[in-house]
Amino acid sequence: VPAPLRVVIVGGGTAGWMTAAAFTATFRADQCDIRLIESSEIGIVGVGEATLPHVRFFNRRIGIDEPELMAKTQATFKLGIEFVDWARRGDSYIHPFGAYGTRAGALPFHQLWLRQARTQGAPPLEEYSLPIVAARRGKFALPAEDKDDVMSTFGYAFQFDASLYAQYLRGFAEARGVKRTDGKIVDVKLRGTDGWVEAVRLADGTEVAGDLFIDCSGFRGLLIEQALKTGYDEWTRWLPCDRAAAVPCENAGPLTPYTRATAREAGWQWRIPLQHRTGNGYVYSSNFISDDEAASKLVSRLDGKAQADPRFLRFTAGRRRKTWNRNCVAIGLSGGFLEPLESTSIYLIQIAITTLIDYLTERSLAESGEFDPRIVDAFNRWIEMEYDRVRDFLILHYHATERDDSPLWNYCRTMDIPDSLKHKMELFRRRARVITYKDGLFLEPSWLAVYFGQRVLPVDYDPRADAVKDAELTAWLAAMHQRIDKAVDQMPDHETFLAQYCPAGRA
Amino acid sequence: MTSTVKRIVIAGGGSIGWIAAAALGRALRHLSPDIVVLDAGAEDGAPPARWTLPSQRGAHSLTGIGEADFLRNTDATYRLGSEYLDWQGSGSRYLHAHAEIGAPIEQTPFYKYLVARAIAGKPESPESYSVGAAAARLGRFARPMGASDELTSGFTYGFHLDERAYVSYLRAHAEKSGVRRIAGQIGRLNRLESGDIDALVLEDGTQVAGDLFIDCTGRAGALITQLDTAPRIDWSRWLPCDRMICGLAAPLADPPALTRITASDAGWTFQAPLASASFVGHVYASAFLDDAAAAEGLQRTTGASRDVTVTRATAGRHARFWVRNCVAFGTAAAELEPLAGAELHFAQLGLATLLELFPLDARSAVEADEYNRLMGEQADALRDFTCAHYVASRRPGAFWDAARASAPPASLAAKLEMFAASGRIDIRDHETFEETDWAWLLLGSGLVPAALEWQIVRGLAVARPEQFAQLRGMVEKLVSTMPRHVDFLQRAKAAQPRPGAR
Repeated sequence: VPAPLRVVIVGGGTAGWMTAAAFTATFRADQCDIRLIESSEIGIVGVGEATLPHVRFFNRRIGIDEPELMAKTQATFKLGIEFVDWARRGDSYIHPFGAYGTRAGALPFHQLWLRQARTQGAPPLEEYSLPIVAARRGKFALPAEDKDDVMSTFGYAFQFDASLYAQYLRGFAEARGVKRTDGKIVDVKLRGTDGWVEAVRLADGTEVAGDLFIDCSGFRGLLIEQALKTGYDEWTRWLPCDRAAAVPCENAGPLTPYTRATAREAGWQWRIPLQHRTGNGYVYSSNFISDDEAASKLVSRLDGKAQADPRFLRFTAGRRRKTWNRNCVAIGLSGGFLEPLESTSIYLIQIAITTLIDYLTERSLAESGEFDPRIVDAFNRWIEMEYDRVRDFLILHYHATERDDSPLWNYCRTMDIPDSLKHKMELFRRRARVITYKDGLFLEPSWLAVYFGQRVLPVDYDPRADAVKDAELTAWLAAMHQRIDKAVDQMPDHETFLAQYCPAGRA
Repeated sequence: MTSTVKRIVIAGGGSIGWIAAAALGRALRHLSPDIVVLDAGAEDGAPPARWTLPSQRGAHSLTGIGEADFLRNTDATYRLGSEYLDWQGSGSRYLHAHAEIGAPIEQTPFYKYLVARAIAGKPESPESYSVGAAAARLGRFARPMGASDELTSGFTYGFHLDERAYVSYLRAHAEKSGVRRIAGQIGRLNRLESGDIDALVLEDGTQVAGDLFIDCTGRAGALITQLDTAPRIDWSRWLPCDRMICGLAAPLADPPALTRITASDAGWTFQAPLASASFVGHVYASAFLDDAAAAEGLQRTTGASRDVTVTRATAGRHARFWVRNCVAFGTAAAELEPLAGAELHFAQLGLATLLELFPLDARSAVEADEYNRLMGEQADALRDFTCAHYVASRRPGAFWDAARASAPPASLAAKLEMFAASGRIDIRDHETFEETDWAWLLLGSGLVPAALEWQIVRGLAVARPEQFAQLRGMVEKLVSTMPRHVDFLQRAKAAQPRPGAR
């Protein structure tokens, strides 16, 4: 029987504890020996208080009880993200977790809607999206299983306190045998022959040896960059924001089942309602606004009273050249950073963890003491693809604007964008065709929301939409509109639903 | 919606051209375009018969063709998959059925269990766990039915068909729906200053003008070769066969719904059952076998005497399939040996993709870019799947050594390496063949990964051996109740379409 694989997780933030929880839920103690090192001296960044629906698959996969988790993390439900003032001041659209209408044969719904809107006139596209209509009216209920039910046309995510999530996962992981060491890493010992990580040394002199090191140390990349010098591809020319100021405030008004991202003079501001408070932050470019000004703008634009002084974060948009280098895998901010505009931080952590687990084989660590380079390469290709796809989608938000009221927007509006995105936008501008893919984030509805919401408008629609008779189309659209309207009417208020499903007070 | 594309000219009177005409006419009927087929006879290089993938059924339903009617008119038989003989050395055999292998164990694909067995040194054939494969092997056939999680629904089928009969059948069908036919040979193209095609000028001087031209002329690519100035992409280092000799021989008495593909010393031979004949042939590399010897060999081993044709082709594709106002379908776009039976499927993909990206006006550069990106990926994926048969072969011999000598395309290498390292089969965005197809091929070829995904090993540990025996028993029992292929075929041909059914 081979000795268990010694997995050493460096850093105990969201990424670290998600990794620990997933590994311990997947592997037996005789397969994996999991140790997490964190220093109580170093604060955690606590990335992303808003998530994507995928986090639920992660939680389900490792066996977490959803209402309990939500109660313990002050969570609220999230049906999408509202974007305010992006293409023009005064604009508002919601990027929903769900579909627009239903497909009609081979034809996506929006093509039929577009034909109706262009020829007869029609209500806005968002009125055909159940999650948007529900979000606008502050409603929530769990989706239905039955695919014919209009209540099955959406998904949901959470808005939660990420540090409480990390804390919850710590309890989960420790109860299942993950060993936690409190200590500050002062040195990384590399193997002489090939530069693999042999051990990390703590301030008190102890050494922790391992076979596989997971670097969850945050932006600085203690192992992946400081020790292994892996390199980083910067994307600041497309995503110029490099700072954030964050501050919680008291809740004011009903809890919205969605996150809000409002475009500001030098970036954008987030608003994430939790059960006990609202998270806020201003993501900005230091080229266009000073820290002090950003902080004071942020504090002046809160719903309720600020509960603390603004906290500042610095980052560089981009991706580590190799997420898995030698025997070190970078997960979380050490692997790359994409601003939280589309709540992708936790998703990118999750996908790195699940891909790593999926790719590890029985004999991952050969007797030679090396990981199979074929698996390492495949893993890196996959993570690269995930980052690149998110990147293009984020750039779209900045680029598709008519705003000319500040230097940041002037820059973004006129900047050169990646060819892959240029092609996507050109194709959409012709006949509203969305480039879709099998793997990676953001399906057709996401792209539609941003294109239409940010005034990237097609000159025409798919000619196949003309195959339907006028009266049939009108009746079909009206029936769908009514079905959604009625279904949303019957949904409880978001707060009412929260109070019976996962009240934080009772947990 | 305003489309200025009113006149569509389809060059080529083969099955690809006629099915394109019928499908375009049907899909665009509300725009009532004028569709003309310039019938210059069969496609260049078209064989007398073919085997197809299951997607041909989808093509039929898109064009309003009923199965019984089709079977009666094209000498067709059913096809559950292919059997590969001698590819791993003399006496070896494996199936690639268009069928599921077993049923998932706790969401883990069943084939992983077989991979685990192979790693443990106890390889097992996937066939006894698959209704489609077992039926094919035993000469039985029935249509899939039942709920999606039932064994009886876990397979699908394509056809073997007589190409000439199919062409006449499709032509009659298209003409009935208003497609016009002009007979003649293309002399030259009239080009506008922009480079677009204005008209095809026939040898007798007739001009056939159009807004959109579709090249279905087969491997000659009579239109596309004049428009695509980029050099053709050569695949011959991966797919060395450059000849095909084929013909029709006496029918088998009780043929299975299966194409037999047997490795030879210079390529592979095939035997595909038609209702009243056997389609036989040899696909080979001329560097390893001369044409006269190939002809003599075919005659001696099969007695083929009807419709014997020899075609020459170098595997490869155009860099772009849609250039200016011309789109090439099928072999006019990419030339790939018929091993996987995907020629009509590839043309069908082109057609479906063109309909999705149908040009707003004659020059739709953005749509053309997207079409070329998508179809280029599809073509490369088909190439990879075909090439994988050679890479995975262990047959000895100079031809086979040569075929294995050059490094496979990077995309295929990545896929095979990942399988070899972990038993994982990763499928990219635009691929015809899915995880299960690759599992048939890789397991059938006897490839054994170094290890299996760790968490899958864990999942498989909970499976009880009696579950597997039970599954084999169920498959066996189900197949024993299925009719013989020939009997089913007779009954299917006699069936009248249900009223209202298409």
